[in-house]
Amino acid sequence: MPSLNKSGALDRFVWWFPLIFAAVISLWVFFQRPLSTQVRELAMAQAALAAIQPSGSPALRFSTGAAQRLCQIVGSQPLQRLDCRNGLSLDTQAGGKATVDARVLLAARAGLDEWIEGYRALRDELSGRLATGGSRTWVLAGIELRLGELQRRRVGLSPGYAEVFDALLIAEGVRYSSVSGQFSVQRWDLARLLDSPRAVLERAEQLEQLLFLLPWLVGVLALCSYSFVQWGLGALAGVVYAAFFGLATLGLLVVADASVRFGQGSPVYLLNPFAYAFERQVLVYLVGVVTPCLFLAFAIFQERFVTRALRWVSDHFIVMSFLVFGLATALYGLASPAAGSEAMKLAMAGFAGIVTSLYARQSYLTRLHLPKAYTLAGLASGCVSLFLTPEKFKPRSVVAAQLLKAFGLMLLVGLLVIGLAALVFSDLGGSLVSAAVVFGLVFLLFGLRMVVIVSIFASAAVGLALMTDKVQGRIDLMLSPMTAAVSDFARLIKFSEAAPASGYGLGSLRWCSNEGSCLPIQVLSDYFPVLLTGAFGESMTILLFALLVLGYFLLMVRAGLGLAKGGVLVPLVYAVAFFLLFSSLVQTAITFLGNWRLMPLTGLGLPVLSMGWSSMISVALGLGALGMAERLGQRVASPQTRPLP
Amino acid sequence: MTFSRHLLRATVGILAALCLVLFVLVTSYFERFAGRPYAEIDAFVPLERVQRLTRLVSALREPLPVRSEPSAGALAKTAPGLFDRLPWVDLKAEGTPPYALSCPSRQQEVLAGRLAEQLNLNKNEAAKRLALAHAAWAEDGAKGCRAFFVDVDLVMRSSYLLDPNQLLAKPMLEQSLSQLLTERVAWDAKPPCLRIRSSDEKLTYLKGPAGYCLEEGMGLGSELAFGGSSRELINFIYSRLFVAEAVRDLTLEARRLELTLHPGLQSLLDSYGDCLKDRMDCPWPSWSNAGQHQTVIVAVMDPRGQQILGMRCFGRCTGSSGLNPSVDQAIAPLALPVPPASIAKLFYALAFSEMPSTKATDRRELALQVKTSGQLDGQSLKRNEWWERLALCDLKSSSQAGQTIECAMARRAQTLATSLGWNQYCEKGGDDCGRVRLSGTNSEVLGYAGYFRALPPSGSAGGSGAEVLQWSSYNQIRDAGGITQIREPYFAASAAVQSVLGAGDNRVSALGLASLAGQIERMSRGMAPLNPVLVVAPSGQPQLGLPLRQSRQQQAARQVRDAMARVMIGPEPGWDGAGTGHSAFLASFQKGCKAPCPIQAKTGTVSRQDARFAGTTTFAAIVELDRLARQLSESDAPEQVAAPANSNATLKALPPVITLGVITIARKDQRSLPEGHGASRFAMQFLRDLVVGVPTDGQ
Repeated sequence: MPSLNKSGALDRFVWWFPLIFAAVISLWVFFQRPLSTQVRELAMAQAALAAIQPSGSPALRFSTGAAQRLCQIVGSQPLQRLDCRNGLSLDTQAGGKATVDARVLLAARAGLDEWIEGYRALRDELSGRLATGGSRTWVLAGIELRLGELQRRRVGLSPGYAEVFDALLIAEGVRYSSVSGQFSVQRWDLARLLDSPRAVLERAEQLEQLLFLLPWLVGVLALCSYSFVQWGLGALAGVVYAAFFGLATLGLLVVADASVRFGQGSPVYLLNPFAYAFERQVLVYLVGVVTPCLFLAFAIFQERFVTRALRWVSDHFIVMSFLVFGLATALYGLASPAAGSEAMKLAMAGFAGIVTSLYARQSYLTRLHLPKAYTLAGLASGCVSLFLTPEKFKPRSVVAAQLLKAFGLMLLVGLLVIGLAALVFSDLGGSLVSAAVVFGLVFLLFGLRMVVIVSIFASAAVGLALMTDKVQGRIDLMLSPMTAAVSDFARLIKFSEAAPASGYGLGSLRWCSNEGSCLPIQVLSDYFPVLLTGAFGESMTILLFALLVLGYFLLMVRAGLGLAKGGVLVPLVYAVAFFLLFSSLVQTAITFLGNWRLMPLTGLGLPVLSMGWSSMISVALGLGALGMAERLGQRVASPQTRPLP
Repeated sequence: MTFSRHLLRATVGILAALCLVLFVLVTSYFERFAGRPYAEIDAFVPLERVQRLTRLVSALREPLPVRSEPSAGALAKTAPGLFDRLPWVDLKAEGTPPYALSCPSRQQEVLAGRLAEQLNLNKNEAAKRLALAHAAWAEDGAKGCRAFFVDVDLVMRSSYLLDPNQLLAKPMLEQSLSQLLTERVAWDAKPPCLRIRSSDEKLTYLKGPAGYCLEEGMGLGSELAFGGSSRELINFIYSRLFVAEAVRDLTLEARRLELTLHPGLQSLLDSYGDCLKDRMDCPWPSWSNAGQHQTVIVAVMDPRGQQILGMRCFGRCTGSSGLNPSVDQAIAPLALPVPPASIAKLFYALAFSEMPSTKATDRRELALQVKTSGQLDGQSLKRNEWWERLALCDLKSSSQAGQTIECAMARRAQTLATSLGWNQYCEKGGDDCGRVRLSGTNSEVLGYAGYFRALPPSGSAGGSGAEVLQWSSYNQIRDAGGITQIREPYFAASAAVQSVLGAGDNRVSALGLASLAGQIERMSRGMAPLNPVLVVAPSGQPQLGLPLRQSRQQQAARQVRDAMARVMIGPEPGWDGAGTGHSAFLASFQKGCKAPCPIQAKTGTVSRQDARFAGTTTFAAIVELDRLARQLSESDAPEQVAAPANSNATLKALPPVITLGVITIARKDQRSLPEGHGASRFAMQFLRDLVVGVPTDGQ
């Protein structure tokens, strides 16, 4: 790689790369970001504030909780022991209807009337602000729909408890889960305009400001980080980083578009469900693009600390692996499946990297000189010799026993965690990626024959996984999208089919159909490849997929080459980078294939592009590790620098 | 080979294998999905879930096969194979509840509580039924408590699915559930815009993507005081329009369609709400004696363009669509068929009036026969003898010389019915026979107009219909209860007699009744018949139809209309008995209608001997609103009904002439009791409300 130390025309020219890149990407973001004037919540929240604070009259106050109170008063029991839909206690043995004090019902109806008045005032205020026939008239229609629903329930001859309770839920934008007995406030429901208009306004203003600042933010970040990477690793690394940065920015722009335009035309999403998402994604983006730079910075400025840490890890990798696997399992249960899945993928990649760096050479040499140690018989006798006196066995068994001792147990633990994730936590995606890493590891250490043997066990595990409801449902979704249990794929297919050959273009995605049916809410994570098809067309999406695969391929070859170099610590970092990138490659393939319905959907996001931490972390860490290894490798190779301890 | 080279080879090997797999998969993707296999499918229907829900509903609504504490053996006996298929149901468990699902207790208790409430069971029974329902639900291997909970919840929210009075047969149930769960997922189509136009030409948005359907100055839907049934109707109609009217070429404008309903009139009908069901809170005093009816169906039309202005079904309206009761209730006026009864006499009246040979005395006789719907003076033992003789071309015959007679009356009546919009789509038979297209657009919005068959089915004995038995011979055979060797003329006579009485398999809907009155009104003004419409594509010009070709038809229609005008008036010299609608008019307006009555009507009553339709009454009328309002406001009218002409806004906005079709079906326990004519009584009450206006306190 060309470095700063070299001179020449090319080197002088590459100095301009970061500036050019920053300018281009800033302009791209400037023109492709959604316009802040399109943030519909601004006009809606302002109208709501005016509607609930009419001049000369006392301000109207709305708060949620009336439905819950009504249920508690009528049922006279804790919520856990009530079915609020009918107001009956779960302890009631006989059927029948809840007896409701007429005054309670009257009060509830009065509360409902206030909400209806609120919606009416909001509609009138908004219709004065939005010219009918304009692009936001669907908002008025959505409010109409809400009003219609409430009036129908309210106007009936004698609305009883159930009707009033239902109407209150609708009016308040609250969801009642009969399964748990809990009430939850829906953040993007229209009712939020009435009960917390200021919060909606503030959020909209924040979004507006963020959209305004976005080109500057991206430009400055691009300039600084690209310059730093180029300075630290050279022009080629800079180009790789720029590609990563560009992809992450593309993902961010799609999220920005969704945070402003998702739900347009749909009476269901009058407030945008992704309004919160953009702010969060900006943070993910920042952390994601800065992480490789941080790794590089550590390698440059904290080399001693890094080498000590690496040594500690290589010395205590068994403890580390157990800890990380334990953490992954705990995260599944305690935090969220997404966190657990991500932790498991990282743990597996880290474990595979460490094992490869520590044992790949020994394993290779053993296979070269003691091929029988790698036969089934050899490994079996190795297994037995683990528990008996080694003197009684042939040398090949002893060697096999040592290998098994070194990482067999860890492999077992890893496989156990994968099985747990697949069968107990139904995390098909995380399990597949982790299993692919294990296959890679087994192939590197034991060769093809062992891969075949492991495949037999894996097939059994896949068979078990296929029997779970979740996987069955996804297979059904894959094979019969128009008649499956959920309509997600049906909508995605019609969205893709409707897109022009060259796509709608970035910033012009049709998130919702003319009739108001919208893309699934997971579209920014699970279905990103379909969004790419919508934005750029099918051909460009396939080209992008091929480029991504090629990019990962080249990076992994680079990591493989680094791994083959001598030493312990630098290959360890290369190996970890290799497996992190490998897991990202597998995840990319799984996501695209799932979206193309060539395999069951896994719920994994598309690395770098999809929304959320889990899409960004692996690649960012992988690139960071690769950059760190490159830098450490340069230091080792350079005669002027102090050798690694 | 060095370790480095080995590692490189292994790395490249892994990646190459992966790339190969990806290449194969991507290639197969192109092979599999080339040509957009789902381009023609715009609807998502979760088929397996529909079947699962069908099994679930069937199981939930069936009573337990055994007594309250069945043994597992008994259960297995009554539901063979079920016992073996119950992994989630602990049939052998002791204690309470004995058949607990292995779901969290809260979920079980909630579901059991709701089922107990809905089916009026105790909770234990409900829990057992749930357990069995779960077994049926899980027949296809479905698992998961949450999914089961969601499905049961869905079934119970669509309460009609479990209503014992409205149990749908399995295919209907499946169709209903399929409709319930269908989602339209088309992305590239521009669905049509559905609007409604008020009398002051203001457009109000009803349905369609608001982004382009809601236009400058357009009113919003909630301004209409439409009730739930009308909303359901709008949804139903829109779902029918959606496919045919959606524009796929995005460069074209979306289609703008208008519903012909009159907002004020429909609101009046909707304001009756559930008066039939719950009269305690009903604001309309006219409904106070409506308790004898199980069903009341009304359709109102503007005869100028045969546009449907309002319609509503009250009470039990099931069976119209077989889909779900709310849709049934919305479209029953368009779809629920009953025998027309004496309304069918109008076809014979028209046919008779058209004949050049018909003399003036016969025409007077016809008018009087229409008025009382038969003879009430005791000169004939059979009330409908005149009409039967008319149908058999035997009005003058008194001898029994010949047994058969050449007669084309039935054929003429049937031809006339077909030309007035009945008997459409009947060539191939099947469910569509009698339906009529209600859309002046591309789409097939089908309603049911009527089926009138005066001739025996072609191919059967008496298929020609030209030669019929003389009435006396026919009557003799009929009374004797046997068939002689002269089969063909007998069958022809029988078909003609059945048709003139509106019995047999003749059918009509409320729409058909209003439409028939409208056709007569149009013909009397010299306009050709026109199919009724509910949805129109506005072209700037009202669709009023073409003029009649033959003035003879206009003359006939005028004569029949004049005859119908006598139905509301009392007895007159030389003819015993008041018009069949007179008592209803009197009851509603506390005075008789002055001739010429602004209401020209015909009543029909299905025979009490009809096992299926006994208790059904029909009513078709042409109403001149202005004249009616003027007549009611005359000074001799009792104070409580007197109202200045055009006193309310709804009336002002209506066309000067409307037509009305009403069907009432009595409650089963009321069918054998003597009663007034339900349909005409409802019609008069409705007209009273329409003309006099909104009731005030104390009225």
